[in-house]
Amino acid sequence: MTEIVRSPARTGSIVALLAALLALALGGLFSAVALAIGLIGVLIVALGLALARHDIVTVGSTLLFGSVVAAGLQGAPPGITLGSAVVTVVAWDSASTAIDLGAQLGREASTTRLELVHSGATAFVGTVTAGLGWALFQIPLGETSLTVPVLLLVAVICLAGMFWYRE
Amino acid sequence: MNWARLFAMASGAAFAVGLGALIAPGLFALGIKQYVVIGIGAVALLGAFQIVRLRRKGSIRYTETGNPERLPSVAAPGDELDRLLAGYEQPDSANRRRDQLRRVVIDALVRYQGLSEAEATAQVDDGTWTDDTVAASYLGTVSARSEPLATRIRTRFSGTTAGKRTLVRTADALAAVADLPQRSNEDASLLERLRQRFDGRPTGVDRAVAVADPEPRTRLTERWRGISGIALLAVGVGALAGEPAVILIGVVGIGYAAYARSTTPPEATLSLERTVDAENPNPGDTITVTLTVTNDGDRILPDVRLVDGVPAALPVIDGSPRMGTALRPGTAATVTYTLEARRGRHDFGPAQVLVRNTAGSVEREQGVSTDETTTVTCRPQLEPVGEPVELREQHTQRTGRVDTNTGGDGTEFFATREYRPGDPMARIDWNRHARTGDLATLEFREERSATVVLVVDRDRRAAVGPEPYGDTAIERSVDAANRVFTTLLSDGNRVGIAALGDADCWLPPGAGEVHRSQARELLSTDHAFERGQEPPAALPYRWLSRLREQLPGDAQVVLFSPLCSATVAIVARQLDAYGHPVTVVSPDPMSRETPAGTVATVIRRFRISDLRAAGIPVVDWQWDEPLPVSVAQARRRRAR
Repeated sequence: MTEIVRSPARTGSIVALLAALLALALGGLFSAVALAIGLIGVLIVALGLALARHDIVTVGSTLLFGSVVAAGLQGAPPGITLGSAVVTVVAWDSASTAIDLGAQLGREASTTRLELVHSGATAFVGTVTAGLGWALFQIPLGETSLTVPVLLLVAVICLAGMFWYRE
Repeated sequence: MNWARLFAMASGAAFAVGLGALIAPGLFALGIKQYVVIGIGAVALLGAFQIVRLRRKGSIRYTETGNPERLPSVAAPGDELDRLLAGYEQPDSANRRRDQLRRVVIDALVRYQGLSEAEATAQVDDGTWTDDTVAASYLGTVSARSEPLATRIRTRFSGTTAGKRTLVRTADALAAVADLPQRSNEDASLLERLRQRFDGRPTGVDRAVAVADPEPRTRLTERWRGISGIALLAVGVGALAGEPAVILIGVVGIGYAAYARSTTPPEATLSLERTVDAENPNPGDTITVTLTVTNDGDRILPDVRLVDGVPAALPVIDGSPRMGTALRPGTAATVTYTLEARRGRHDFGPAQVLVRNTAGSVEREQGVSTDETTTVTCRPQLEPVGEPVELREQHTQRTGRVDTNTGGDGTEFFATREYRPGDPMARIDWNRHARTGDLATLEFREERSATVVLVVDRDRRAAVGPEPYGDTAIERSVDAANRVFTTLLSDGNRVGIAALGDADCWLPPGAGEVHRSQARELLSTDHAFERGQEPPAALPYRWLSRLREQLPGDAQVVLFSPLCSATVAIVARQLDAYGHPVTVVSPDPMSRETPAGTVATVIRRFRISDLRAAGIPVVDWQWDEPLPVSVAQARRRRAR
């Protein structure tokens, strides 16, 4: 009689760790603080995967996200922070999916195709939004007026509020 | 108030004005100063903290799947006692348990130490019945001296409670009184003990619980919950620091929040096809199952998770009956796994199918069946015991297997008598004639056929076994019934079959080839003996009176039962008293892992000796022993 092993699926775990390391490397290039925070984040994500715990993975990913913000504050160019943020979300999403799949289907089941499609879609969505944001950033404002960026900022915050309430 | 709509409108307005300012800078020169940006950043941060705080309360949910790999868990004998023991915090049940244990100990002292009831009670009261101080003071009325400090400290850190340890010690003391062998478990290594502590009897979703509902159910997984908080955090920090690169990170977060908003569940347009390589296997054969899932719709299904509806009684021995995949329209995916064949007719259930959208934010659960139900039927061969099965002595007219104390026709030598004219030549004792010249006739023990009905106990309390996912005593009983049936039938008896408590399961006594195959079918596939069924535990007295109407007047009964309940023992004695001589074949399902198991073992021994004292032979079939060995042992015991 085989017994189901409900630990996180392999492919997703590997993708998550690779993505987390990439996010760490991108941020770490520009800031020692980001490197330090990110390293702790990656280790916690790995721990969360080993223990199959969503909450631990989320804490680790949040730290990793914090390291991206720190890199941005310390002068990383927008292209790098955007890419790093997308990779961080991919890491969290892949890890969380791997844990779910492990719990529902176990390690024995073949889930590689599902995981690759899922992580690919997440990476795609992130790349498209990051591209949009980057394009917005490239618009020459000409004047030094704060009006346009502030209004766009308000628009973004209101969007976040809307999504929160609809969640 | 609809906050979501308000925010959406505000966002749209801000975006429109911003766009306007970009095109016609002069028109919308609002004269915004730096401190406004700082204020907006602070608001964003506050919002982020609020969202993260709320986020921590919710948790990601996922649908639990069943455990089709393993067999339904088997209760340990004495589990009901265990349940009683578990609730020892309540003073009432603690007293009840203590009283019960006292009764059992007194009974054991009377039976095994030859004490009178009064002597035994006195010994239990003053604690002299055992050397174990803990057990003595627990059951006694005289309080014993307290334990040494070192022992108490060890108890404290051994991971069991004092109450549990008292029970273990009491059960062990009882076992010593009742002449049971000591448990070897005490010497288990630390690692082993740790493992046992964490494993215990594993629970988990049993298959019956996880049966998939054909009605689709949709639920939100909430796995992206809080992503907008993270976005706001980045926006706030970026605004405060005046760092556009950081604000842009927030934009990515907003993008994912929008992605997670797509909560349209995908249509579950799946069809299943299942093939098995053997529909009528023998027990122990492997069955390879191939399950193909096809996306019949015209949309991509990015996330399909599937657990096949493996029949409860068939364990998966290789591969996994689960699959996770993504399916384009018209494509199919296949999973292959191997089952081990067990007795019975087994229908595959619907597969539990979970389909998620691309973001994984919404999930649809549904049970999907194949067009035709896949069925595997496994009928064990009829197989004799390989040892003569002794029935009770009886007086009937047909020739057969029951030995009588009358000399006559038969095969076993009985006596010689003086020759009488007309005796057949073959029966004359020619050796004696050669030796002495006298003529004598050999007589053989007369054997007569019997009418026997095999009754299998499939009460809820018989569905127990020593291993958590192994056989139950019912399985063993059915197996024994198969073999005893075959042996008795080929000895020339007329044999029938019944299931205790189930009037629908009845094969009247008979003989011949057709009867044989009917019996094989009944023992293999009857509903009453199905595994994973929850047999009724109701008192079988109505069934008993019906059985007595059905039983031919001269019928014997062979009862197959682990003797886990008093009721079964009563049924045996009543049938015996009504003139149907009873023999009991009792598979021993006892496990001494828990104190309750030890107590149950002792009580079962009481039952067996009571039945034997009432003249009912009991074959005590040890779990690890082949049936013929136990049958032979029981025959030797009767010969004594």
